[in-house]
Amino acid sequence: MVAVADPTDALTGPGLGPRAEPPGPAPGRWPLVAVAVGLGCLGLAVLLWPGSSLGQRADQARAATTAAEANAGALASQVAAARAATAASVQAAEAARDEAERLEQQRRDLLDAEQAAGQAEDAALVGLQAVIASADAVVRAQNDAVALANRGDAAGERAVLRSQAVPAVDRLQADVAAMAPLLEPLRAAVAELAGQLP
Amino acid sequence: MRPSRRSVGAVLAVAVLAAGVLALAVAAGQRLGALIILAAAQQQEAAARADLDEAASAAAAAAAEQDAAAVDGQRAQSERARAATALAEEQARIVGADRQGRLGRVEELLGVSSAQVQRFAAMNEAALTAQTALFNDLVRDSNDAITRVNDLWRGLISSGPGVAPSDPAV
Repeated sequence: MVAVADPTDALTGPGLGPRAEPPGPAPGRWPLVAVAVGLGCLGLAVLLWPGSSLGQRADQARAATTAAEANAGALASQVAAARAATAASVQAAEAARDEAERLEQQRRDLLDAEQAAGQAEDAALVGLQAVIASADAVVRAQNDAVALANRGDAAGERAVLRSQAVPAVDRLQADVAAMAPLLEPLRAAVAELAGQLP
Repeated sequence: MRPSRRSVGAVLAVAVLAAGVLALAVAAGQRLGALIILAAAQQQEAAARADLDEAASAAAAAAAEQDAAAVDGQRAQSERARAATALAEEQARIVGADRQGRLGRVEELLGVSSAQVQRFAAMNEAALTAQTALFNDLVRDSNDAITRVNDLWRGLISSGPGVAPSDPAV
């Protein structure tokens, strides 16, 4: 058995002394405190209990999300349609430009062919002018000879014929022969031009 | 053995305390859950609105591109129409110039001239050999050819650019 020290025992010192009252409610009051705390917790729980406003706000947010997604989807469809229309317009514009360029090139080719035909025609007409001039010289010489013959100057007629008319005919023949190489390019140029006409 | 009044009160107090603490915990949990759900919904809404704004911007840009492409397409169509009109005008002008017909007249003129060379030579020969009747026949025939050549030459000159004859006489 353990001996309890006597607080007044001189051999063991002054001892523990009398025990002080513990802090807080008196031992007989803690049920009241517990009830008060419990009721306070209940009141706080009532205050903290999530009302319908939070749910409504969440529902509104979900509805707004759904609407925004739907609108975004509709806009995406519009974007796709607009891009398709843009691509079609761009393609049509490129085709029109290609066609315009082709037509312009066709016009330039036509003008080039016309210029070539004009140059060939001018060359041919220059040759024809030489033919005409030679023929004119023949006619003049023959008329001179006829005039002498009509005056009874047969010798003069023969002299004019031999010295002027016969050489003029030879020159006319040479000028006519010289036209052949001028006609070939003219025929080719006119055929090329005709091939570019509708 | 009957419980004392103090024991019953203590039990009731503990029950009230436990009920209050439990209710507080449940309410706090419920509220915390609702706040989390709301925050998630609002986050999704914000993301959806951002996507919507982005889609709206893309739609506006696409519409602007479509308008620009349409305008460019109309411009290209106008260019094509102008090119087609210019080509048609040139074709009509060249067809009107009738270079095929002019070539035909040149060839006919050259053919008549070539035949006329033989007539002139025959005329000279007839004159030199005093074949007056043959000479006069050749002169008439030659004069007809000269008239024909002159008509052809004038037709060539009047139908377009070319070299004017100094004195058409063939």
